[in-house]
Amino acid sequence: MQPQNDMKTDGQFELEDALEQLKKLPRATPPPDLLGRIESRLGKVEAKVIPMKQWRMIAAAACVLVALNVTALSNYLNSASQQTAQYDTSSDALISDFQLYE
Amino acid sequence: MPEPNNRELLQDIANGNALALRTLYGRISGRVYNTALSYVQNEADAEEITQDVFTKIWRSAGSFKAESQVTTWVYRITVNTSLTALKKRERRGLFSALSAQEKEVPDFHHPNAVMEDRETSRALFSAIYRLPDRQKTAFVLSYVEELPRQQVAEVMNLSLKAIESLLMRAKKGLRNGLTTDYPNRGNATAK
Repeated sequence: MQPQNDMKTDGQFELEDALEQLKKLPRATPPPDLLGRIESRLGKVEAKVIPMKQWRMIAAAACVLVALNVTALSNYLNSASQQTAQYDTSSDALISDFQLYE
Repeated sequence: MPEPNNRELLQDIANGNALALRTLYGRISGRVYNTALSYVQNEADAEEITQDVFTKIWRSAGSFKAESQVTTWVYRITVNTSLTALKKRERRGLFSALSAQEKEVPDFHHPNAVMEDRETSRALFSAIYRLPDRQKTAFVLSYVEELPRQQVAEVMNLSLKAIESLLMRAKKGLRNGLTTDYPNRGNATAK
């Protein structure tokens, strides 16, 4: 009696043989330090999240700065307009002083 | 105290529990790594994919829908990450070897193949590498990972019938691949 494998084509034999070996092949395992690498990567991910919180603080600080600047600017403009008014009156006075040939 | 199941672990991971991630890693990292290795056939790349998969699990544990098993969800992430890595490799290959007509197949020896089976294992993995993506996924999940067909269908979001058809075509492709690589080996071993 002929062996069963001789009834099959080369390809069939090869595949069944290979699948049989595949069944026996132990599962590959990751290296022991891989978990540590993953955790350190996640640590970096977390570290990237922290600046996002800082960004919010920076944005808040920037808003406060802008508000202070706006206040300072408006104060400055107010005082500048008041000064202009003072100059106007004082220049009037000066001009009146120069009317020598009346 | 009973061990938490995978779903509970995933919930804990979603709440930022790093210990839960460690426990889940202990349970499923072998599956993730082995699947990735079957796709990319390079240990360094498989390690990179495993890192990517667990980073994705950490980030998106909250989006897991309890409709499927955790392992099904993880396999889906692993398959997608592995296929993306292969696409990147192909793109890199295109730049480095514009004249190459055929897919460059890595010379891969499975780390656990025993010496006398190394050539058969190398030929099989090389034939797997050349399969189209969907056939490759169906074959790797069914024969390398030995998942039940129903779970393979869930991972791939296809019907059972579609999986059977993909496996038939995959086996045909593998037969052709093995015969081309080793035209005389079947005869030599049979006798």
